[in-house]
Amino acid sequence: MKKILLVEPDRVLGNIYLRSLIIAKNECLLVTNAEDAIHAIDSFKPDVIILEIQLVEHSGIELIYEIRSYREFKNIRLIILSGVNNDSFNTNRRLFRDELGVDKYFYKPHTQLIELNNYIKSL
Amino acid sequence: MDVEQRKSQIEELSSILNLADQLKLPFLQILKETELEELGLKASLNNIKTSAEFALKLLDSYLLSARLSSQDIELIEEPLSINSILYDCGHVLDQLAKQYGVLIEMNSNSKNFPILGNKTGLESALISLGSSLIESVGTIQGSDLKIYLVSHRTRYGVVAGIYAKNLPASIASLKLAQKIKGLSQQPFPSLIPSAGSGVLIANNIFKLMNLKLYPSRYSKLNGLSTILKISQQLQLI
Repeated sequence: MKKILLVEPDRVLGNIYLRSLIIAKNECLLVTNAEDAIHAIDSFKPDVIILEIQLVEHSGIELIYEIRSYREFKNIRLIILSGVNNDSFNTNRRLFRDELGVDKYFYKPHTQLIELNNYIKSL
Repeated sequence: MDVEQRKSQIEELSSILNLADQLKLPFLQILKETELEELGLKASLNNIKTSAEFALKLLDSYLLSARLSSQDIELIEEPLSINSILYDCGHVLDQLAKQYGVLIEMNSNSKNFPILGNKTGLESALISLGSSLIESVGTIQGSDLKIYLVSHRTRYGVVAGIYAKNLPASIASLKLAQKIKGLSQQPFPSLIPSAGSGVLIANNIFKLMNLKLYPSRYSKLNGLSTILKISQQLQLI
């Protein structure tokens, strides 16, 4: 069982992902914006963060920089699950992987719930 | 091709790109909801229906604005009750609001002054606007998620719009979004996580009805609204 923090701005979509992660026997928390994500990381202490990079007010990339700026959050596994095509991840692989420590970039339309669950299980 | 034609072509293309980005969201909601069945969970038919219905409503509003732009159709002004239009819009939006856990409240201080406008155009614009703002309010954490359908009288006319607490809308962000729609997948980064087509389509429909969409404040609420002319004729009756 993993503790997963899901940062998804669309509440409807977020609840669907939440249900699928819970049925795979994970402990999950859904937040819809970057500010709440920071508070939740502190209190919930997740093993894995799954986040959309298109958030309101602060982008997901800003949030990742913020997370990585704290020593105690450095080992949290980071997965991007986004509606933005992963071309940017492929062209900026060095930035995402080496600098920001992003484990995987999933493009929402091409990633089935079962695929996401399997990936998390493999971590 | 002259400059004006080229400009209008670019405008049309950017609107289509923006709409395409926006439509990803309801399709994703439907797709992921059905995938729950593969995991042994029950998909919510109600959620699927709501997502599909609002995707179709957005397409209808887009088509209305495109037809108005190309002067295929014309919206005739007539005396209307803004309160009854807001009530109808609230009724339509209620389904989407429930899906997002958002409440809708009517707040009218316009004493049912008759206004001049077109019912189809106003309803289409307000429903598009409302659906985007429901999505926006849904990103706020907490239990008191509410949007307000407001009409109130000012010296300029009757203000009608959709408001919420802590809605960070500004004229600058509206102008910027209009400029970068289609180029950016998130033209309202401080307001809406998706493409915000609802606001842009509403803005366009209002413009084509010779109205304007303004960011405004009302009783500690922020929102987007338009100013409608009061029908002088019916006021006499």
